[in-house]
Amino acid sequence: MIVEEFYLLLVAATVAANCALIGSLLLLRKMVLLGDALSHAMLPGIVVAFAITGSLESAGVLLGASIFGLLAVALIERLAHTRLLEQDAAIGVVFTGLFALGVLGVSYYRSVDLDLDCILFGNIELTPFDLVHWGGLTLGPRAFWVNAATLAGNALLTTLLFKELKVSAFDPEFAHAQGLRPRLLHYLVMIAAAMTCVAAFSSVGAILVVAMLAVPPAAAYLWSRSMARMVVWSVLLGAAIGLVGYPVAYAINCSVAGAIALVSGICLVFAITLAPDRGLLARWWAWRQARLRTHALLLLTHLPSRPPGVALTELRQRLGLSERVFEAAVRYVQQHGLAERHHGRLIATEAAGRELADLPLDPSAQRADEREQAQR
Amino acid sequence: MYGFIDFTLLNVLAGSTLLCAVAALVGTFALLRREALLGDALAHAALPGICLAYMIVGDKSLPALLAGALATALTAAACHRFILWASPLKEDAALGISLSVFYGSGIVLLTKIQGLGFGTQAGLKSFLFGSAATMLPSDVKFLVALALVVAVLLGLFFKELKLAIFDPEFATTQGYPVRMLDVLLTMLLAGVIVAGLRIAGVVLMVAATIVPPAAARQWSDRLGIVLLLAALLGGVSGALGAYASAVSPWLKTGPAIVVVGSMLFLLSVLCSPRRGVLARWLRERHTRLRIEEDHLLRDLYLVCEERGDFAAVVGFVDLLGMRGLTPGQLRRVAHRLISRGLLRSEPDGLRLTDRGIRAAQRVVIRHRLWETFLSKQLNLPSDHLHRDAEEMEHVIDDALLRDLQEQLGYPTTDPHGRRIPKETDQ
Repeated sequence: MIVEEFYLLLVAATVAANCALIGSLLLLRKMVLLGDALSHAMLPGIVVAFAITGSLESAGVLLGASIFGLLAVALIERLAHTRLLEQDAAIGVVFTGLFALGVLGVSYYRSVDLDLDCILFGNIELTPFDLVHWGGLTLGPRAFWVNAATLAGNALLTTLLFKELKVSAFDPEFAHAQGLRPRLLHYLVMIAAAMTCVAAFSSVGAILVVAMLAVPPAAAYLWSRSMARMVVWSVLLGAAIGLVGYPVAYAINCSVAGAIALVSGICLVFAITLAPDRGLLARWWAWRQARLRTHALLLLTHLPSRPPGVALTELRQRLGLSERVFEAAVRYVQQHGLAERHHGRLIATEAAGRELADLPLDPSAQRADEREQAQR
Repeated sequence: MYGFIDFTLLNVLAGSTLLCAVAALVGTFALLRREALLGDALAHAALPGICLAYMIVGDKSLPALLAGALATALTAAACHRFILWASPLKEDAALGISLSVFYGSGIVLLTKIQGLGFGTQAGLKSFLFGSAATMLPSDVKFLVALALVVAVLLGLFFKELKLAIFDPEFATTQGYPVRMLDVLLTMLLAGVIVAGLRIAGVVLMVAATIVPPAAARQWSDRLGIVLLLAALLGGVSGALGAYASAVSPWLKTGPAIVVVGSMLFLLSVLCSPRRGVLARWLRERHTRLRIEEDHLLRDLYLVCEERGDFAAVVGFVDLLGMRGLTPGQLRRVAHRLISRGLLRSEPDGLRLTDRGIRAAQRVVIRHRLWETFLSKQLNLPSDHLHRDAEEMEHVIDDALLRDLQEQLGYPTTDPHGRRIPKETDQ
């Protein structure tokens, strides 16, 4: 039993890391929904393979799915390239059309009852029971090896072409001018995505894949400032979510894929609120600091630099600030050594003069100053 | 018996037509707001709502399931907007997140329902795949009401919606409630999708909101016309799909509708007169052919000019050498010019006719004037002139030609010292 659980965790972590890697490339190209589209677009390939081989467990199904995955990618790319419609609309048109063809194919070959949900997608709970044997040895679940192989391929692609991928994702025109081939790279990423999706769908099911393509890269995007860090964080976070998902599913007794999607959603909530620089809290804090500083500087402009200074109550009335805001501003100027307090009256220090001089308070006044200086 | 079948067919036809037309109407706005796939996320987000409603109510009563589906679909839309507002993530990432997390929680609820012994959950999931063939008269009545509501709302707020989707900033400054209009459009989209899910399934509803609008968009740039066309194309694909599936039983209604819609889309992308792929290809081909013809005429003119005799016969070998044409290419271009009466074929070469000389002059004048312009006005060195002029000679129209002549003071020679002919020269 323990071995099976270990296998399941292994598969979950591998698939999640693999999807998170490709997902971060897709995120930067604004194509996150490609995963969802591919999960539907592959159906006709599976039906054709089934019609030819008569079984759903052959390598033919993988091949058929790959061919139609690549076909979908090529159609989307061609369609978007005509600029006749937006990229997301192209995705929508292509995957619904291919899926409909697939469903018609299923109902045409009604010889077996094909449950759409089951033929399309594997089930992560079953992966520990489909093992690879070599000689007398058991080498672990097949899903692990399939996804580990694609992970290795994707990792190789990403490391070898990292610089090219980065430039072409952020600035395709510049990449083109530098002699790179941004369209070729775009195709490469989409092909890698298609192959990853085929490998992952057939072993763990679509919903887990779509969640792992979208969420860990998004969280990593919020959390990091460079693309290299984003990719690494995304892979690590994906693997971690994959590992946490199973215990959660076990605890609340539900589907592992659903639990993983749920856990990733919770992670994203954390990332959106807590991420440094780009998180809600960080941005709220930065906004508050900026407001406080603005109030403090406003206060300084009303402050005489010679005794007896100005009484606090008078100053507050003059500025028209609320008591709380005003006190915060007074604290700010005192802490930064911009003003001193003597017997309830506030006097600006020399530092205040320097601070205000650096500040383009009134653009027209500043221009007047410059003109004056120029005349001298 | 026959009458009964007819009645069923009529029901399905009317229902599919209405549903697809309404979905196309609301989908057009989503497409124009560049969030065509919002419907995809909304449709998937209905699953947890269906499960929750079933867990709370305890049976599969339709209004409860619909209300639950609508509630979570709208929550997902709100989450999507929140992610866009609260983070620098883009549209596609926000949609992918809402879609997968909501659908994933739906799966969790579904397995909970199984595990807790709520009875079978089979009916719940089939809610997402739909079965148009079993459309009831009550469904059709419901769809008529839905269509009326959508049409009236869109008609009432047409001007406001138009402004809000094309120029939200301006609409805001004009005091239009842009936020409310956004909510209205999202609610209509969610409402139509949830209403159609049970009948048509997730993927068909997504297709019905994207494909007809994308097709209609190819034919016009005016919102009103695009809307009407989208509704028409949606209705036509709904009717044709339903009819096809009634005729041959293995064609399921939903997918048949999508396939018809996809064909209409392909037709639009290929054949639209202004933006279509075919029209574009024809235009490009026309330009390419004209450039080839202009080049041959100018080559002939240059040889004749050198020999001082415009009635001279120019040998094929001379022409082949001038820009590395293959004999086949030369033959094809020459053939076109001969059939237009600009060239005459002689036993050992080609000769310009009078009309041909005038046509060649047109090209030569433009080429040499442009070289003069580049040299005089932009001070480019003389070895940089030819290649640019080679492209410009085809696109300078009469008005630009007059402007160039005026600007340059009617020059008679180009920077290389060659004579610029006059149009009336013979």
